[in-house]
Amino acid sequence: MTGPHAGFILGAYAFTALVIAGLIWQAVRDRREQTRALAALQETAPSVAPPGSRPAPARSPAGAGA
Amino acid sequence: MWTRFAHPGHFMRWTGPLMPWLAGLSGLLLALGLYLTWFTVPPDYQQGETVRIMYIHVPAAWLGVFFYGAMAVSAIGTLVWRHPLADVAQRAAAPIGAAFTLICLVTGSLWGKPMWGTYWVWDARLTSMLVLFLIYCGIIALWRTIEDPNRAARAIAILTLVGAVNLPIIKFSVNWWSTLHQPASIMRMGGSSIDPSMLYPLLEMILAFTLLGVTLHLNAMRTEILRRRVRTLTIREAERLDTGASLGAVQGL
Repeated sequence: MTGPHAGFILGAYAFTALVIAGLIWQAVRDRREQTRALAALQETAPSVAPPGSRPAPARSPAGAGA
Repeated sequence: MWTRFAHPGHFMRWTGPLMPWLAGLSGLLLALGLYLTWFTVPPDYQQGETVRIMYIHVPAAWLGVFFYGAMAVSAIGTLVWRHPLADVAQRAAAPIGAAFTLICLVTGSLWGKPMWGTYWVWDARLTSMLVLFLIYCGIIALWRTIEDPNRAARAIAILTLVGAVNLPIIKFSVNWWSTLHQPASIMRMGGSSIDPSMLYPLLEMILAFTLLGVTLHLNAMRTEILRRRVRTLTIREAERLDTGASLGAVQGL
């Protein structure tokens, strides 16, 4: 089905699948890590509300969620 | 209205329920696109079966440029309006854009060997795409170098805008210079030069990749907001402990 250049075609698809799988894996891992860290910090300081529960006025470019 | 939607707190709320739907739809469109690519697209009269590489190469190239364009717009948001979400959007887009640019370069190379007889030529389109990948890498490296997001934001926004000069060069390189890379065949004067049996599956794959990219980007933005929240709380907690220790020392005197 892929002719004489099967190696190139399958190689291109395999590489793409690998990179996209890596992006998804990294996204899931990073999200879990940050959620866990935030939960641990909120246990230490219970008065802090989770992000998204209470909007605060925008202050600076890095003030996201801060 | 946009300011309200783009506020980090509101952003977390309205994107939360959207994420599973976007992920599901991306998966469905990608599955459909792959089916069309592998089972309905006929072999090209010149490229033969190798044309199937185009169904991942073209969408990846589009996303590499698209995410850089999004980063340039975000950079303006950071520099001019200092919008809290602009820097978050820019930072979240860089690794995704870099990954798709890398896919574009590698798949193009794998297509080039059987078609052109070489993996690489220093042709204007290929070189400008490589420059785009290097700019992405530079931006990611700079972010990792500067720990404070406040300080990093402005420097990176300026670098991103300088790098945006490369975008029209990528687009028009095939018209401005004599290149081995073929000229535009989808978006061109007089309509697409691709047969509909090949064009529609290609457009479907572009749509699927775009939706996948947007889903990954929104997710990365949500994670970046959490990361900044964690950083702020960690600093606050350290300050609280530090104050407590100082008070203890004073009382102990």
